[in-house]
Amino acid sequence: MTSTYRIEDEPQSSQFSHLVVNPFWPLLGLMFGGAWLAWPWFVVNGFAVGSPTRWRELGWVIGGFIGSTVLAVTIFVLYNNNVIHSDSSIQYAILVLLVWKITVSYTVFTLQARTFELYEYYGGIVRNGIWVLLLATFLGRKAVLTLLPFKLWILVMS
Amino acid sequence: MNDYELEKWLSHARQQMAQGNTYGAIEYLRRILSIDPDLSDAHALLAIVLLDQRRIHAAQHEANIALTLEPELPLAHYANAQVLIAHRQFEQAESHLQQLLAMDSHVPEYYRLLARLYSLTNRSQQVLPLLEKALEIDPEDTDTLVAYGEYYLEQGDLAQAERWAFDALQMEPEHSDALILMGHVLLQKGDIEQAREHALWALRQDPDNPKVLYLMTAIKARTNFFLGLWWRYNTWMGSLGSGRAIFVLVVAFVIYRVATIVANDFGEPGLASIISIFWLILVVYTWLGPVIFRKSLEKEMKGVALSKDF
Repeated sequence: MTSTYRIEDEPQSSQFSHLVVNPFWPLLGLMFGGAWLAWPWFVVNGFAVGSPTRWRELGWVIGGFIGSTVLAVTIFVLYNNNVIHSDSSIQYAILVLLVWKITVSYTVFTLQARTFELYEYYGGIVRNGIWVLLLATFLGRKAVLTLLPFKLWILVMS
Repeated sequence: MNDYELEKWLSHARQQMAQGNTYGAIEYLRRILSIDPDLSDAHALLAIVLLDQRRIHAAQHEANIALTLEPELPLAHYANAQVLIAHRQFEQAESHLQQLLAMDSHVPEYYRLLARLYSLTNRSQQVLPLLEKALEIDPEDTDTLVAYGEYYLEQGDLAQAERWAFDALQMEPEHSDALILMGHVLLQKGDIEQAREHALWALRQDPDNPKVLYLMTAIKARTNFFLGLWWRYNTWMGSLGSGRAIFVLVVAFVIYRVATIVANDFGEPGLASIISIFWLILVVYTWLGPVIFRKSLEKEMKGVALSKDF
């Protein structure tokens, strides 16, 4: 007898399951690499693990980039109009952007972690994400952040 | 596949649930629903098992299906009430329980669940009449005896809690909730070793029961300050739900960042460094905490034999 009933939070079969990592790695990716690494990685992982919330996760990531761009533009506007000028006020402004990125990342992580636990329990193959993290941190970060010569790009992607 | 076979599997699923094997129960229910996806009983049971595994979103989904398929099914209302309590939507849960009692007023489980709801909503004076009713219906229901004990434990009446736990264990010596209750009583009385033995015995009976892990932790909190502290933090975060837990983490991060910026502003870079180091230690501690706790628990499970007295 083949079991076919799928419980709502269980992973769906995926042809990319060989790419699955613990969502903890993309979360670390935000801290060591930046949003450019963490968020696309979350999306790939969501599809690879067959997460039932993968479209929601993708929505969060797209919203994350849009929100970061809006916040970064606001910071530049405030800076150019001399509203924020001291070192500490710049740091506070960047903190707002950072909090936004962390909130998006933790939300996607929480959504994906539920499915990942079940995926792992049912014997799904899990890759170690450390190599991606190390490569991205030591080689990718500089390459991505210097890809476009705009500070806005750095603020959004870092 | 005939109805008799499905009923048999449903009965197997119930047995697995009674033995605390949630994964086994889920596999039986999955088989049933693969053949008959409209069997409301199976959806309702699945909701209850999923809740035992703390998969509350999937549990809610299953409980809703059960109720949609059969709005008058008591088990569907019971599952919904449990799920809503887990979501802390107490008013809706109470409404389901009142409907249940109107449908059938002779089921001790309904009274016990309503008693639990009252206990959670600080209406402890209404708990005892419900438990009395449950006991009147079935005086030999061990779950009711344990519910009494848990009530008295919450009230801080250790002697009464111990009496009910003892009665429950006399009736059913391997009842995991009764063992856990006795474990808590012994711990509060300061008998850590006996409490630990009760917890380990309960863990062997029902390894998925979150209450037993809570007891183990309460014991660890008494014997190992750092692990106990981590577990208290973990339990608290778990009780918040994911949205509020994320909020707490983000607020903690903001406090840390603002504190370092302010320290630098006041010309105290040393203080800013101390705050950063403290934050780093906190982060490492919350990451390593679960690993160390799990390993120490596994070690204890392997290495400890129950004493002859137990």
